[in-house]
Amino acid sequence: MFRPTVCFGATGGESLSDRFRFDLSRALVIAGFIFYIPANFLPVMTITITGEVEPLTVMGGVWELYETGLAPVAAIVFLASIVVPILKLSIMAWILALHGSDIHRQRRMELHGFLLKIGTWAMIDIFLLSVLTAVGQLGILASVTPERGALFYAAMLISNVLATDIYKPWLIWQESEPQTS
Amino acid sequence: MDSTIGHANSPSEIWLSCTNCRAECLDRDLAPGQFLRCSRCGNELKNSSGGKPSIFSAWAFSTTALILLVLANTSPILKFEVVGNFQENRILTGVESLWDQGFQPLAALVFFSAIAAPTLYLLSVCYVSATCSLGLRWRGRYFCFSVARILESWNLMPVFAIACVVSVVKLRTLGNVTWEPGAIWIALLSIFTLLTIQCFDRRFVLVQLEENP
Repeated sequence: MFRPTVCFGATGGESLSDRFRFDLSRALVIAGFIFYIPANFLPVMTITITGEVEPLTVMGGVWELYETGLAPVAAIVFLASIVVPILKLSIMAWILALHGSDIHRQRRMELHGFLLKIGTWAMIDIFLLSVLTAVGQLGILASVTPERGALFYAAMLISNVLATDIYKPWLIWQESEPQTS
Repeated sequence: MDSTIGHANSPSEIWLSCTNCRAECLDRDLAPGQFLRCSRCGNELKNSSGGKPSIFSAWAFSTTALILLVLANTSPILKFEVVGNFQENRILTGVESLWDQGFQPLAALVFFSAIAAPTLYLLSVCYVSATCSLGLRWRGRYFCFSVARILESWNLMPVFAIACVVSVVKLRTLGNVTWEPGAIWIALLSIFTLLTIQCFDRRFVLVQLEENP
């Protein structure tokens, strides 16, 4: 019987030890919290329209959408790019804080699964930036340029996604039962 | 009896180890259409429906998605117009302009998640489901299988489609925006991508790969 596939499917490869997974995940969550601050307070992009320069932070973008009367869209962007990232980081931090204890195991596992599912949707802001910069290249008339905040935003997002990915559900249940090879 | 994900204690009792949370679950024979779920996390351990039709549709959907991918990448998505000047925009244009303006990490990230990852994912799903449905032993199928497993969560076409809609809303305040044919291809591509993910049953494929080593 061909064995290698068994460990492919069952564990996804034993390349990382459980202890290392936990440490790496924790480090990434802390990094995510640090990146969150500049990501929200540095401008993410500059929109120039017929000579007027307008640097936009994430919050500024939401406010602008709201002022132009697109309140539902503003609400979506606000939720997706400000509330959700910090919420995801906090949930992940909570899961990691309870690592090894036996309270809320079921809840933690459900939340972890949920985080895995929604994780990559945060990429929407990066794609948005990409589409906007591509379109807004009309010289002086209109241009959209990315700013430094976007780099921090991307860094926060990636560390968040990786932290969730690296911490595996079985680590939540680890101490309650004997280790099966 | 397929004990591909587990180990046998005695001939009569086979314990499966849950792939998600590593709980030990007692294996049992299933009537057609039944599932065996992990009692702790609800992860599906095996089903008895055979899964053959699903692998055929995964093949079909991934092939369709590949064709749509080519179309989506070659045709413009949006046309933006300010006082007579206009510009058309593809997926790759965004990557290029990010790169030109000195945001190489972002350009690489967008390139990876909007172009490279979907292409590789669909190619490997197409390859693996073709070998499985034809019962052939093509080379590199294990490699392609693990590529598909790793890239599944990085296939971000639906997210990109939504981002396009949001960007149109934003650009409306700046000038005239019109949809171009590429937008339709992207919408269709994201639908077919989701269908492919839905149909590509990794556990079943793994069993198939083991049966034809």
